[in-house]
Parts: sequence; C-alpha cells; structure tokens
Amino acid sequence: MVEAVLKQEEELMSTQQERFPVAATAWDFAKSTQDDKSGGVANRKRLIALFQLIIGASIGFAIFHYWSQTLAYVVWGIAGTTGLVAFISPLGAYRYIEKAVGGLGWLLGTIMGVLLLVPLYFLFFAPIRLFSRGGKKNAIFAKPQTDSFWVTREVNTESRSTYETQY
Amino acid sequence: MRLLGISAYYHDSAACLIDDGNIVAAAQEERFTRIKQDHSFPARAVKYCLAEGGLDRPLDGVVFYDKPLLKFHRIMETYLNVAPKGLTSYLKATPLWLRKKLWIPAEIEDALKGIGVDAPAKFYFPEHHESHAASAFYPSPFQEAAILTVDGVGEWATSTISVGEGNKLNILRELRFPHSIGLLYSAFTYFTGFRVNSGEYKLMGLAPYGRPEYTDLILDKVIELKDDGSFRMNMEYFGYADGLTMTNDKFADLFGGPARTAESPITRREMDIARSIQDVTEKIVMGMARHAREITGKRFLCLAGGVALNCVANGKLLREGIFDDIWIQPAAGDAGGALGAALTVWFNALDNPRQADGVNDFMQGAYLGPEFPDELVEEYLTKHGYGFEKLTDDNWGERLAGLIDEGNVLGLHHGRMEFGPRALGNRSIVGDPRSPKMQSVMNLKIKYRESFRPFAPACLAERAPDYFEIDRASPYMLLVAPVKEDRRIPLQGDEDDLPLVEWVNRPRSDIPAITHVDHSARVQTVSDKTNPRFSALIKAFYQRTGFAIVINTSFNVRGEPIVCTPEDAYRCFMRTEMDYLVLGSYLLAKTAQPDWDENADWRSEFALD
Repeated sequence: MVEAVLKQEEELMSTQQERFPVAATAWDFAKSTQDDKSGGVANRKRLIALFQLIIGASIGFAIFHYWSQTLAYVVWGIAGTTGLVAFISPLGAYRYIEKAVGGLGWLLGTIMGVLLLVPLYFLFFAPIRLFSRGGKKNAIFAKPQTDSFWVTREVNTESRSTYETQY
Repeated sequence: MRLLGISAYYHDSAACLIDDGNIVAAAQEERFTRIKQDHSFPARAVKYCLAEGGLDRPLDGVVFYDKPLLKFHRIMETYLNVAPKGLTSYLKATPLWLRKKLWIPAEIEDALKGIGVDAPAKFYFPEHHESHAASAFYPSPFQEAAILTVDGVGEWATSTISVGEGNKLNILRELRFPHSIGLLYSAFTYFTGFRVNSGEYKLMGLAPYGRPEYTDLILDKVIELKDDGSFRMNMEYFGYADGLTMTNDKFADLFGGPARTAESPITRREMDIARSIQDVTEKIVMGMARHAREITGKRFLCLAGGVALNCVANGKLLREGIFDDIWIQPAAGDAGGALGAALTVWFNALDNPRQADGVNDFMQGAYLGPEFPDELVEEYLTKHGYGFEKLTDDNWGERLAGLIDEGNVLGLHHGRMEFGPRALGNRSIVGDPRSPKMQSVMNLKIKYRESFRPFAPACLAERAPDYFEIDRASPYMLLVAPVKEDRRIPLQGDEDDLPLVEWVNRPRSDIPAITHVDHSARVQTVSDKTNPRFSALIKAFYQRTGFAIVINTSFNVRGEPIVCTPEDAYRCFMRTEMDYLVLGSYLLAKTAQPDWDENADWRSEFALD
C-alpha cells in the first residue's frame, strides 16, 4: 500500500518535472513529502553516521594499540553511541548531536580566530595607525576645506580584461 | 551569448540571466529560501534562472556584482585608520573574508557544481556602483542619460554620477566611504529603532507624521553639505567605521537620549527625526541631481542604489523638473546589482550595440521570476483537498472586483514573480481603497505590522491623473505623488496631538486607505501591456465602483519574504485574516478550506524587521 502511494508520487514528480521543468525547479511540491515518506533524508543521515562510526572505530583501534586503552574505550563509546542514536533516531535525537557538534566546531573556530586575529590587530594595525600616521586624523576622517567633496574619476577606457580582475 | 549575473554575500542575494543582452530571468534568493534578505550564494535563484533560459546551452560567463579585493582593501584601510578601536568589528568581519569573500570565483564554481552546472571559463567583476549604474541605465528607455547611484557603500564609492551614451557608461564623479547617504539614512533608521537595511521604508513612512525640528541640527553638526549635493559626515557621531552600531553615545546626546529600542512605542521625537532626515536626504538628492545635470548636460536621469527606493525623494525630484524625465531601476538595491553586472559586461565590456526607443524600458514590468501553470496549481489543490472555484479569463477580473467591492481582502498570486522589493500585482494583497478602516485592518490583521505604515494604490495608468498629481507612468511604485486637491479631506489642525492610531484612522480623502497623512500616495500605474490580468481586475473595479484603484501591498507578513510559490501563498493566506486567495485561475475562499493546524508559533519563523 505504502509502496503504491510512493510509486504514484514518484511518477507525479517525474511527470511534473517533464511537463513543467521551470516551475518544478522553483517549486517541487511532491518532492519534500516524497523525500520524507520514503526515508530518503533519514537513510542519508544513517549512511553518514556509518562512515563516522567506521572512522571512530579506526581511530579507537589506533589509540588502543599505540597509546592508551582507556582513551580508546572512550572513543569507541562515543562513536558507538552516536552511531546507535543515528540508526534509531536519525531525524530526532541524532539532529541534536549534529547541532551540538556543529556548535562545538563554531565555538572552537571562534576561539581560534580570536587567538590568531587579536595579536595581529594589536601588532600590525594599531602600530601602523599610531606610529606611521602619528595617531593623527587620516584621509578617511579628515575634513578638507573644499567647495565640493565629489572626487573626479578618469573617463573609463577600461579594456575587457579590467573587468576580469577582482581589483 | 548567455551571462549569469550574481549578487551575494552581503544582503539580498540575487541572480539574473541575460541572453544576447535580453533579460531572461531574475530573482532574489530570499524568495526561494524564505529567509528575508538572504545573503548566501543564490543557488536556487541561479538554478531557476538557468532553467528559465533552457539548460541546453552552456553559460558563457559569470559576472559578480563588485570587486571583492577592492572592497577588502577598503575594509582593511578603515581598520588601519581606527585601530586600536574597531577590534570587535574586525573580529566579526575578517573570518568571513578569509573563509569566503576572498575566494569568490572558487565559491561560485563550487556552488554551480553543487547544482549541476559547469562553471564557465570567464568570470567578470565590475565595480559595485558600476553595476548599480548599469542596472539603471541599460534597461531604461533612454539612449542617453545622466545616472545617479545613491547607496550604502560598495568598494570605496558611496554615490556616483555617471553618463550613459548608447552602449557606453562612464563614472564621472564619486563620493567615498565613510561619507554615504545610504549609511546616513540607515544610521537614523537604527536610532529610531528600526532594522538597518529593511526598516528604511518605515522611517520614510513615519516622516509625514513629524516636523522638521532636527533638520538644522543635522545640517549644522552631523553633515557638511555643499550646493552640489556632495557632503561629508562628522564621524564623531557615528559608530559604523569602528564599531558594530551605526551611531554612538555622542549622537544620542545630540538627539536628546538613547536610541529607541525595537518594538517600543514611537514618540514625537522619532517622528520629528524621521521627518528631519527625510528633508536632509531630499536636499542631498536634489543637489546631486542638479550637479549631475550640470556636468553631463543630459535631459534624462536614471537612478539606482538603495536610496533610489526612497520614493518620496524620487517624487520630489521629478516635480523639481531638473530633468525632463527620470527612470528608476525597480530592483534598485543590491539585488539589482546582479542584473546591472551582467548588462555592463554585455554592453560596456563586450561593446555590443544598444538601441532604446525613448518610451519603453526593457524590464518587462519587472515580472522576471517564476510562474506556475494552472495545471500544476490544480494538481496541488486537488492533492491536498483545498476547496477552489475555477475562474475563466472572461470573469476573472469581474469576480475578483466584486469581492473587493464587498470589503474582502484578496491574496493575488498569478503570472511571473516580480524582481525587486515591490509586489506589482502578481504577488500582492489587494483591497478596497475607499474603506477608512482598511489601512488599520490590513496592517494589524493581515500584515501584522505597525499601524502607521501606509499602503500603496495600484491605479489604471490612463486614470492616474484623476486621482494624483502625476503626469506620467509609475509602473514600479517608485514615485510618491500628492492626491488631487479636490479629493482631499482637509486636515483638522489637531493631528499633531493625536495618538498615532487615531491619526491613522482619520479619513484624509475619498480613497483614505491609500492616502498618507500628508495627502501623498506611493503610486503604481498599471497598464494592459505589462500586466493584462491585473489591469482587467482594476478595470472591472472601476466599472463597478467608479474608482480605478485598488490597494496593493506585498503578499507576505512582517519579516517574511514575498511569497514565491502557490504553496507559500496558501500558507500565508491561511495564517492571516485574508478572505480569499487567487492562485492563477483558481479562487479559494477561506471558508471553503480545511482547518489549518500548525503546532509551532509561525510568527517566530520570521525575525521582525
């Protein structure tokens, strides 16, 4: 019964794309429901989790043989639990794990960014401002005495190649 | 030759496809992703544009709408000028530049691959303001014109004056960052408690409620304005160069207290500030336009850039008579940059000929997005069991006009979606302009937005002079014109003391729902040529009521992008108190629909703008 419904929807989707290729690009109303019902999204999540499990298990083996048995059990435990959750609830609990991992990645990235960029700002930008320019007001913020603030541009004789550069 | 124009990574991402200089398709990414002003790579808009143009031919070039390295230079130069201040802004901006914005061609190639399209060999990068100027000039009806771009900021330029002649466009003058009319207006938008990059319309709409109490203060302290419209901002009052806010404490001191917080009551101060900055903006634009006329000697003016969406200033510019006529790009903001970028490469870089007839523009009414055939709509409605009535071409206009005359509010979804921020009849909510309560009803029960915001009239082009002091077409709703004197109800003189809602509800003309408190209206003229169906609807309303006008507002709720698909339209219809929905030839009555059940609070789906 379910298979018959799915088949009908699949046919509807393919004919929709054939009959209305442009409209179907912007709006494929059969696709989202079909995807969910056939478990397409869930199966993709499970596949990703399987790869993660294999990688986790391999790392665990390496740690077990070359470093620490206790740490290896921790790695296998995490990999196994994540894999199990993904297989049982790919669109439920596993999504929270994905979100948590994503959040952790963002946090680490932000911390690394700050650690690298802050010294650069104070060792490069601030000294240039303070020493090279004497800490004075600069071209951007200056208030020139002039009748007009318009800046005249050279008439464009640009060749095609100028449009191909990003500067 | 097929060129794909792209604007992305800042705000309002969009894609556009041109084929031998003809505009095939253009759309904003937000319409597909349902994220207002989506700034991500416009993958879905690109996919749609390529499908509209046919996937059988390869792309010959991709044109990005600005020069990323020049922009990066400006940003780094700014930090060099403000350090050690500016650290928070630097920490926020730099990672994004290092990760994405410095590698635009690779990003585009990856994104195209992701949607199954081979990247072309050629990538082009015109300047940001060149893209804006091109979007204004090349689709315009003029063979020769002055071009004014007024915007936030691109690489360095914030405003430019250019000249367009045939297929050539040259920038003659520019104002440079941080002195920007767009950022100036946005700073006041921020200070009055509205969201930057989307609340500017609200500030403009609020202005007529206020008095120009702060105009002199702004001109004395905040900016130095020259007769030629050029100006410099006193950066002691602004925070955008070295911080994360548009204005700073000194600015707050100058205007009598801290910035209004979002959603708090609007006071007399905000109204007066809105009016004052609107006056200053108009002074700047008039000065710039006069200077443009002086240095180019051209009779016509083309406008683009975010500030060109300020239709009050546009209306004044037209009435000032500095130019014989003006044409404004309907997608004047960054989305339109995608179109301008592609056109500037086709005409300016590749030197292809261009011939304008002086009358018709090349924008096809701005109906450049996707449309959905009746068969597909019927399949959707039938599949879900939604009740509908099929209309014929003969009774479409009459049936809908009758419903509007009875006081119903209709969601209108038919034909190709509009490109740009305005709904021009194909993705619109329409109602009766004669009803004094309609402005409040539509604002509060359908759009869920602030009650002071005015609605626009869509009027038959040939009948527009009967209602408004306007002598030419305004097909893109970009000109504000006064309602005719004989239709007005005079002000009573006590309006300033009234609460805002009471003031809004007081009738101001015989078309009160579209007449703003200063007796102005943001006019859209509708013609058979560009939108025969919408025109038929208004004609039928005219025959029935003697009024050739309907209210036209965008089909969305506050914070939501304008609807794209029939499914978006149906969802919005069921969430609001609209009475009827029109999907192509199908009419859906709210009373004939199954119960609409949503578990989540849908209002939290869209961030308030």
